Order: sequence, then C-alpha cells, then structure tokens
Amino acid sequence: MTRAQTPPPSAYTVLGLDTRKLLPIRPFGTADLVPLDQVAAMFGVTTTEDRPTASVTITAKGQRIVLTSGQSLASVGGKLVSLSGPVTHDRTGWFVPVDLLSRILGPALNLHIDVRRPSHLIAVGAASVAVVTTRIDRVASGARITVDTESGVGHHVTHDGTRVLVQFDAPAIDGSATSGSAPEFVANTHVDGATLVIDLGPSAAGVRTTNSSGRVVIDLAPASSAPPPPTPVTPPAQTVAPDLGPPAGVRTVVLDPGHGGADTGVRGPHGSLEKDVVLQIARQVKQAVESRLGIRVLLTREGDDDLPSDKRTAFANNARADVFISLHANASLRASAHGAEVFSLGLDQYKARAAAIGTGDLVPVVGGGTRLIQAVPWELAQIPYISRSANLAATTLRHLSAQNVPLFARASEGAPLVGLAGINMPAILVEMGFLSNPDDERALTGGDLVGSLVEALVDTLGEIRSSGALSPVPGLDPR
Amino acid sequence: MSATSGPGPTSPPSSKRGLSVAIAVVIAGLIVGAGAVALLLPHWLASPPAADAGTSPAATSDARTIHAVLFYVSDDGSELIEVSREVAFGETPVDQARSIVEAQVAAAPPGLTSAIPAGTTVRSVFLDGHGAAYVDLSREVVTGHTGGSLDEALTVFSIVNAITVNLPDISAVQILVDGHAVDTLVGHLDLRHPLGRSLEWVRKGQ
Repeated sequence: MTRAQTPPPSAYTVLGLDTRKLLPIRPFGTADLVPLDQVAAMFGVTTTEDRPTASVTITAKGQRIVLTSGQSLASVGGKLVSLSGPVTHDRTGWFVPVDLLSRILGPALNLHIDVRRPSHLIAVGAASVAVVTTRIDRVASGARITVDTESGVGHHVTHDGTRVLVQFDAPAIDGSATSGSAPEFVANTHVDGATLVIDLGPSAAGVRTTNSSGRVVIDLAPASSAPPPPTPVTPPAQTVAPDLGPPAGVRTVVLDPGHGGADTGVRGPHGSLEKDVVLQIARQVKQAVESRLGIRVLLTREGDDDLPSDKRTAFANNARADVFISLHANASLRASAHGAEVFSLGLDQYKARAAAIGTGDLVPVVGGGTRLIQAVPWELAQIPYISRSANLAATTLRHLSAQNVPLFARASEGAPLVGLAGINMPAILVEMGFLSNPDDERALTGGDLVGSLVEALVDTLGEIRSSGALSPVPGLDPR
Repeated sequence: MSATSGPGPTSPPSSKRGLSVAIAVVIAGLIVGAGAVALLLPHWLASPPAADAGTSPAATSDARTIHAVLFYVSDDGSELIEVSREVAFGETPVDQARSIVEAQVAAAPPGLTSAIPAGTTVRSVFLDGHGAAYVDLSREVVTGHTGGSLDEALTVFSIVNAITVNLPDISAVQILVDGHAVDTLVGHLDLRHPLGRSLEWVRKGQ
C-alpha cells in the first residue's frame, strides 16, 4: 500500500465547535504550525503583540501565555512548557505549534482539546473521533483487509468497481493506524472525513465484504479465481484469523519509542540521542514483526514528537493492543556499565492502592443475569497484569540472551515506572543498552547489536503468540 | 538553602529590636544593675526567633550529630551502597529529615559517587503527619541528570531510602521539583505518589 499518493492535508479539521472549521498548516521541520489569529478567533482568546521583545501574549480566562518568536517554549503563569516547534512570526502574522492547543490552551480554558497529528484532526470538548485501524494481509486466495473500530460506531460499506468506501457514523475518524501491504490488491487507502477510502489495485477483481459490530472484513480475489468463501463474522476477539494472520492471542502490539521532541533522553559520549536511537530501532522491529509474524504493530510516535506518558498509555489502551513494549536506552554514572535490562512494573510501591481496588461488584446486565465489574483506577490499570508482564520480561530476556545481546548485571527488574502503570495489557520496558557506554552507543547506532535486538523481539512475540506465555500466573496477580 | 534566619550576636539590631533592647537594658538595670546587663544582653540576642520551625539544625550552633546511613553508587554503577555518616542532629522530626536529606544531596565525600546530580539543593522538607515526607529539590536534579531508568531509580531511592531507613516513623517520601509535584525526574520513575523504602536497589550483605 502506498500512502504517498495522497498529498498530506494542508489543514487541520477542527471538530466540536459550532461548525466544522479548518486550520491551515505551515510545516516547520517536524512541527505543524497554525496561524495564531485564527486560533484566537476560534477559541475566543485575545492576543497582544509586543514588538520590542518579539513576543505575543495570549490571555485566556485571565491566564497569560507568553510566546517568544523563535522559541519552542511558552511561559504559562511563569511556568515554562515546551512545544514541538518554534513560534514564528512574519508580516502575515504569528504561527504557533499545533500542540499549543492541547498542552496549553485547553488547560487554560478548562476545555478538552485533542490534537491528532497523524490524522490532522482536532477534537474540541465532547467531540469524539472514532479510531479506525486497518490491516492488510496476504492470504492464499488474494488479500484481506480488516477494518476495526470502536464498538458502537456504525458503518456502511459500498463498492464502485475501483474503490471500496467504508462510511462511519461519526463526525470524523482517525484512520492513521494502518499496517501491512499488498499493492497489487490495495493501491492506496486514505480518510476523507468519516469515510475510509480504499483504492483497489489491478489484481483485485472480486470483492466480498462481511460486516459485524466494530469490524469489516473485505476479501479481495484475483481475476483468475473466484472470491474466497464467505467468512463467518464474529466479534473481534473471536474472529478467525487470515491464513498468515496471528492467532487471537497476540493480534496487535504497541511499540513505544521513549522520549522525543524536547525530551531527548540520554545523550551518548559521541552525541547520539536516545530519542533518535530508539525510534530507529522501533521502526525496524515494526517492519520485521509485521512482515514475518503478520502481527499488527503500532508506534506511539512516528516522528520526533514530545509525547507525555499518559498520551502513550491512552494510545496503547485505545488501540486495544495485546502487548506493550517501551524501548529505551540506559545511562549510568559509570561509563563501564553496559548491556540490556528489561523492566516490568514492580508491585511493591502500589500495594496499598491495589488493595483498595477491592473485588468488584455484581451488576445486573441486559437480558438477565449479573456481571462482575471491578473498577480499577486508570493509572493502576497495569496491576491486574503484573505476573503476565513479568512473564513477558522473562521471555524477552531469554531471547535477548539467545541472540547474544549483552545483558546488564541487573538484567531484570520490577520498578515503579510511570510509563507502564496505566497500561491495560502485558507491558515491559526494554533498556536496550547503555548509551553512556561508548561501545554500547556504537553498537546501538548501526552495529550488529541492532539486528540481534530486532531478532530477539521478533522471537519473543513469536513465542508468546504460539505458546500463550502471557497467560496469568494463578495467585500472583492481585485480583 | 538554610532556613535559619535568627540574628547572630553581631547582627545590627533593627529599630524595633533596638527598642526592645533598650527597654530590656533599662529594666535589667533597675532590677539587677549594670553588671547583669552585660551578662544578659549577648544571651538574648543569640536566641533563635520564637517561630523557627523550619530552622536547619545544620546551621544552628548545636554541634550534636547522629549516625545515619546514606546511599551512594556502587563501583559498577548497578546499585546503591550503604555508607555510615555523621549528620547534624535535628531537634524535631522535620529538622532531622532535612538534615539527612541535605547530607545525602551534598557532594559525596572522596571515594564515593552520589546518584544525585551536582548542584542540586534542598528547597524544603515537610511532613504530612501520616508517615509521608515531601522533599522539594531544586531543578538541577532534573537538568543535571544523566537520564536512563537505572540512574533515575538510584537517584530517587537514595533520597527515599535515606529518610525511611534512618527515620522509621516516616514510611514514604515524595520528591517535588522546584515546588511542584512531578510525574518523573527524567521520564521513568513514577513520582506521582510517595514512594516507600526499597532495598532492592541496595547491595546486599554489606
């Protein structure tokens, strides 16, 4: 599938205001800048320019936000907040990084503003954007497209010979999560408002679609063969996988390249930055896992984005992924420290709050009967997965060792890590080596170690997919 | 960072204090005579102010010390090691907690390596009365940090352990930076709530 055939949108679509509005984009490096005067008019805030200091002040509900030309920072009530790119101004006006809306303007106005850069959508207030994930798999009889969305969002599928349109009953959709390819069957996919547009390739002669709540399966067959037989449609968790697709145990993995943007992470003695090193490796792991295991892999960040941990957590949980792996590079005051280390969440620091979760309540359900509902605070969502995550860490460690990846003296650790605590699935954090060690830095930036790390993670996911190694350990999890 | 603010024996008196001194001198002169004034005056000026709860014991004239266990980075960088040190005695639990943290944050003695970035200072320490201490550090603990999960853990638990190991009545510590609660120092350790003592990061069998 080629996505490059669709030119990048030139504007963000803003949802949730009186009418759908557009904010034009001015690209600046990896950042998207938007015109401040239009932002101010949209959200009813005032701006005051101070030419001598090349700064502009936004006043929002009495709060002063000071922006200075050329700075990737904002002063909010005297506190500095970093932005994804610099504030700029020219004779046409001021331009601000789009994340200013979600990180600064929203909190100042006490208004939920969700900026989704990959899909160029901004949801304001109660406006919701349905997340749509698309996976393309080759199967023996052609190709299969599996489109998943949140349950409860209706959809309608039409086919006009060269395109398949999946129209969703939502104000807009976020369709940025797409994986797999079969270009002779699927030439391109893109989102147009609330419609997923699938341009068919030259080999796609037969099209058969099957629908269920939250899922559309589109089978594409070549001209020489009949379309594949109908597939019984079942809820997503029980759907029969395609020929090369993964069993139900592990269908989606979220890889989280640590740090990003102004948060560079560790800086190596030769100048390597952790945020860049981990993103490069994450991309390689994604490519290898998708092509060899057929497991969908989503990255929490595709570029140099400064993403707070709660956004990473929300991304993984909303994607309903099966496994979460955060990739990092370590640092030590001792330059000799080297090797990989695998962390899972340690329960010790959460015991008191875990105990307060309780055993749940029996709630009547429609159609009779009851269901046990256990309310787990979002920031403690990892607690029910403690032992499965420990299993995942042990499996990963074994495969790192099998691939001759050097291991640190304390190779496996349970720790109170903010990036794992709210993850609603088995989750680990892999420190792939010490960027503070010159040899590790060299090995992580182009040496053989990267290949070994990728192999170890592919093998890990392959094993847990086939063995069910992520089954809970009786008695270990606190519920 | 000392909170001590009481006037020393050589401090120039303020006008109000000068008036008090003058009255004291007159009253003292009437009662016990000029000889007694010479004895009482230096003692009165050296006394700490009445409201002095935040006084750092390290800065008082009290030279008493206690034995405390502090934590430094092991030779291989993989864990913390315990080192017994003398730290200033504190009259109250909060004074003692501050004294211990200041010793832990201060530059390490020769031969030892601190897990806390150089230049970090203690802005304040306070207790909640329910077993938790709050340690407010200056921003250098973030800006001077090497990064990485391991070193962040060693930084955090050298502070948490220094207080909870030496002061059994304090069971948990939350680290603040520049007066604000933070999610983490450098992106890994969960600092959103007070953390309890964790000897998993300390070398065994010392």
